[in-house]
Amino acid sequence: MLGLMIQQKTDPAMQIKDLITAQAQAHGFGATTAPGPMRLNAAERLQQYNLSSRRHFWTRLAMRDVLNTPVLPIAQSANSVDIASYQKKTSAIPVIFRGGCCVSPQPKANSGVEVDVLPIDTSSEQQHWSTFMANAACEITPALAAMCGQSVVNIRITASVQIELIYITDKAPSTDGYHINIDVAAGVRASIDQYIYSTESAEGSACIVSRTIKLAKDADLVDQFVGKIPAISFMQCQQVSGNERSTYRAYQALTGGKVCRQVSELILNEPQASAAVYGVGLANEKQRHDHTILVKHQASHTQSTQQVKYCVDQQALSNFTSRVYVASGVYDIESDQLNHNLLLSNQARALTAPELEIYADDVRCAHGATVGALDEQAIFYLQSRGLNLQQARATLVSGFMKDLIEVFPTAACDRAQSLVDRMLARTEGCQQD
Amino acid sequence: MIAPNKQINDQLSQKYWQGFHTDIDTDSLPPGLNEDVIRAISQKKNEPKFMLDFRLKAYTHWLTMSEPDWAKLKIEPINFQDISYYSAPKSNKDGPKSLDEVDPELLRTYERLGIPLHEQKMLSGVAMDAVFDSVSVATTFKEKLAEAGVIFCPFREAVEKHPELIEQYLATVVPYRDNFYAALNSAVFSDGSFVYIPPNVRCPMELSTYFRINAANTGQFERTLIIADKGSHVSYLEGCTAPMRDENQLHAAVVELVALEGAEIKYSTVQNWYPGDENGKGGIYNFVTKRAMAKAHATVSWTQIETGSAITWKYPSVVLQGDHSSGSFYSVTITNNHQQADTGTKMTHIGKHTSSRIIAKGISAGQSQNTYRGLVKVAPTASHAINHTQCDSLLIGDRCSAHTFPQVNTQNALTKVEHEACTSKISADMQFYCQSRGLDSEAAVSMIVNGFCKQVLQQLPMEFAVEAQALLEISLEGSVG
Amino acid sequence: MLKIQSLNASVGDKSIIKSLNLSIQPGEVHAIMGPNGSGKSTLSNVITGHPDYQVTAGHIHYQGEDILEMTPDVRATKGLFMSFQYPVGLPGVTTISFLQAVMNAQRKQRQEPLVEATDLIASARVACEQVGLPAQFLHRALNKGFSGGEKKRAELLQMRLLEPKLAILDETDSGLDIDALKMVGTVVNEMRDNARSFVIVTHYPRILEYIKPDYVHVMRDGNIIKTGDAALANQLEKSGYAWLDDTTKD
Repeated sequence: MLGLMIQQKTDPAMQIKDLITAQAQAHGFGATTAPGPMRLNAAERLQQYNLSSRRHFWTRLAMRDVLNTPVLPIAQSANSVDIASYQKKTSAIPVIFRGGCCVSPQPKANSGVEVDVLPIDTSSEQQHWSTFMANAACEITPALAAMCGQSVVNIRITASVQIELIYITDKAPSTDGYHINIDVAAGVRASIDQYIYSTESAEGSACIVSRTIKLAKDADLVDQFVGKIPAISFMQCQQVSGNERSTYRAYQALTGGKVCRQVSELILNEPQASAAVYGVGLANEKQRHDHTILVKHQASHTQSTQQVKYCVDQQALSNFTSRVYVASGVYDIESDQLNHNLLLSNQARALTAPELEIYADDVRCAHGATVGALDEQAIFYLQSRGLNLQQARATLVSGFMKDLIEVFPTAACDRAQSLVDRMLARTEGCQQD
Repeated sequence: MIAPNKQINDQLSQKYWQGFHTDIDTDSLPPGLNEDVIRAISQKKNEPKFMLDFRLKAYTHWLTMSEPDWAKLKIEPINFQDISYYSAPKSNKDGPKSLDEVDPELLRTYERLGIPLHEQKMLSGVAMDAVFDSVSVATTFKEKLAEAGVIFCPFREAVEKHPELIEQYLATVVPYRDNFYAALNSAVFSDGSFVYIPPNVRCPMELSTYFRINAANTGQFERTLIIADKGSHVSYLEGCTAPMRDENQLHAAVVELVALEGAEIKYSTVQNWYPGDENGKGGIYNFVTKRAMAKAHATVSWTQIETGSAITWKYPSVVLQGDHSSGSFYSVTITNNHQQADTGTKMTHIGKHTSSRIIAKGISAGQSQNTYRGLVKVAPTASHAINHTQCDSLLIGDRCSAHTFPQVNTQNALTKVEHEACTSKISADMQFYCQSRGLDSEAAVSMIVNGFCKQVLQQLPMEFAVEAQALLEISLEGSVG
Repeated sequence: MLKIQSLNASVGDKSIIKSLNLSIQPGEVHAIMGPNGSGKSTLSNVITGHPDYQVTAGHIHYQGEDILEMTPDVRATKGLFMSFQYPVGLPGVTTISFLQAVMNAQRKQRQEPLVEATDLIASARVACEQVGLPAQFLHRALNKGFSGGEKKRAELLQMRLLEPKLAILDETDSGLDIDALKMVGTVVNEMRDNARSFVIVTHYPRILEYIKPDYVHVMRDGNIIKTGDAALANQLEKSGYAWLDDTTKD
């Protein structure tokens, strides 16, 4: 694949055709005719995004790919690069990643956080990491991963602290990749905030983050990510393993990005572990927002919640693929899985697949999904009270998101609310027929 | 990809050129499949050229395909060259002479289902008297149908008598390229039913009634085509609550429904093929492709009660092509012991103001696996489409599994798609409540299960609803410990 | 009719009933009172045979038979009935079909003639009127979407039709308004005769204004700490359960 990608510089059009034909054959499809214009366009678009043109990319992530993800030991290093200038606003401890490397200094001793940037290792390890990324972050080809700058960082949290993970992508075109191992010690309540920054010059770049989060007994982690993704492709995959009575809660409110993809694997290995994902996404232009979640209930008395809402405008696409897996022999399992989508434009698309795979009988699993437009009656009602169409729509969209955003912790809730408000102020009222 | 296919093709035919000889005078063909076999099948049936061409095209395409592996099923590999693709309908000569010779276990089941005596004879293959009552009943039915202009005959007869209808509609809903088993069926289908309802005619009877007393051995590759012309109405029921035993392990049927403007088709299935024994030995593989095409203002409804077969793989679907068309899918799937079912539906909304409704109830017991798999697709053209999906699973015992894999793909903003589902076990409280009123544990479970399935059972033609209830009870026998 | 001897019962690891004794003769009405968590509902459930409650010691004899090994349905067939505190909903099972199923299940076991659907509907309509439930409830799924009061009425409807020999009313009065309480009283009083016994489990003495009990038992911490006649209930109403602390100390 790497060979093909280099070749592409000489004859891109020819290369895409070859690629599609090769893929078709690999998947057992007889590509008897040349690929049609739609497929060519799709392939080109992905290349523009600096992404693989494997067909999984423009269809959906197959659940089996997540299931088959081998989790391998990871050891990889960053080159020592200059420290990004970072304006510290809160008391949180920042860990900064830029251009494929971890560039932040070691936090002070006794701060409750240790950050290790792993030493340079052999290329075979690098291969492992590439494979992990390739599988977990949705079929990123080894070639693509090899092109990434790579940094592997261990973060150990031993006291109740707040951490900020900051990703900066400011070179164009580049693909920055990071792998972060996060260990939360027993009984610790910690929170993580993620930020992503980019410059205009980085348009067309991609940022890929994979995280392995391990919670010890009674650990409690709040994992927040609220903000606008810059005009790059952002992909993040995380594997969270819960221990006895541990709690993991993710709160996400994301807008923007060319591609904004989240892959979460939540593993509840010990009794009374719980995991929750609350997410809202606002996608417009030609963006696509994905969330693929796999929840594995592998112990009794475990609980999980997923609530994801998407608001999709213009030609954007939302995709929610989720599976709750309940292993055989466990009991007293509770799981909710909800996905609601609001389509604001006639060219917007929503895909949703809330799946259940259950091998035990003492379970209460409920799932639901809806896709719909704004209620025209409600718009009319608001207009009759003096709001213009755009205000009426913004009010309703904000209401659609509100009940979920209100679940967020206070600070994140405020930020998410203002993010939604800012977005809505800019959202055009799209014509509907 | 062409090259390898050709290689496969060559190899296959080579092997069978050596070992195969076609003798078209016998009643059945030796196992194996190649072009000659297809020609022989077509010739035996005196089919016109377009049918042979269709079969051959399907066969050629089938060779390029591989068995689908996306379903959540464990399937022992099938050797398609071990199957005999043609055998003349069996006569009843070798059957039992009277009900006294029939397995008493089977008779007990018939009794519990409340199946009339003459039908019991038919079902168990007892040789029937020529002047037997049902024959005259059948004749009456036939006259009544002819009067209304309804054509209802074996597929083979339709090819002979109404080739223009067959040529016009065959494979328009399920093209031979559709999937592996549909392609195989298109190449080798044995027989099946053909129904045509003329414009604005309301079929004077439930075709099930007729079907039940006339059910012939239609073979393992059954093909059904129902055409409801503009403004017509028909209700059709296939299958039977009585357990059906069959020598053939693989059943790959294709059912196509064409509902023209304003027509209404109600298709009900009660499937109770042999599910294999308690240890999962034997049993039928039921791999069916069912799809309906609904034109403007047409209505199609699928109702299925699936209790049999070792493996069920079927997704009765509706393509809502015309504006204001509607489709529904009501399903109860019960799996027990080692049965596996992967079933559901696809609703494809293309026309404006189309609506669909899905109610699927899965019940798993024993060590069985029960999967709902569905797709609701709303095309950009389908403004004001509405879908409501409800799929619930009930687990009985801790060794079974239940899965739900729904997909919603919406490309039009003016739609309303709702999906809800839940999975639970029979609650201990419910069971205790029923028991505290005097029902034993099996009766309590059966009552709860019947209540759970009620929305679907209501959709069945009246005379089958009672039988179906009894069937649920029998299917779950021994699952409550 | 019912004889409970040094009964100990628990849920999970938690022991709730501790060496309780109770004896009920045919035709008697016993009220069992006590504060929340005193074990009243546990006692009702143990008599009815709820699988979550384990009897760790003691005996329950009903009509001379040890019933502890019997499943709930066998007990029901022998004439035991409990009106549930929280009746469960049965989706898809209409009240009338439920009634028919349970009545015939019991009759079949007792080798009595089965009830015909038409006879049942007629008698069910009459009973509906008595318990103040509109007849269209017969065609709705049992307890599904019923209000609290409607559920209790549906329980009494079943009691009326099943005609048990020993009926336990587990907090049937809680959440009922005054008219409904009167109705409970009327139904019970009509059914009262020399052979049929009732156990009224309740927090509040108010229901006993309508049903005159022969005995009143007060439960506390899994045991009966005081037994008296109807006057005891009046005393409780005046003084509350705290009064017992003083009277039972010695």
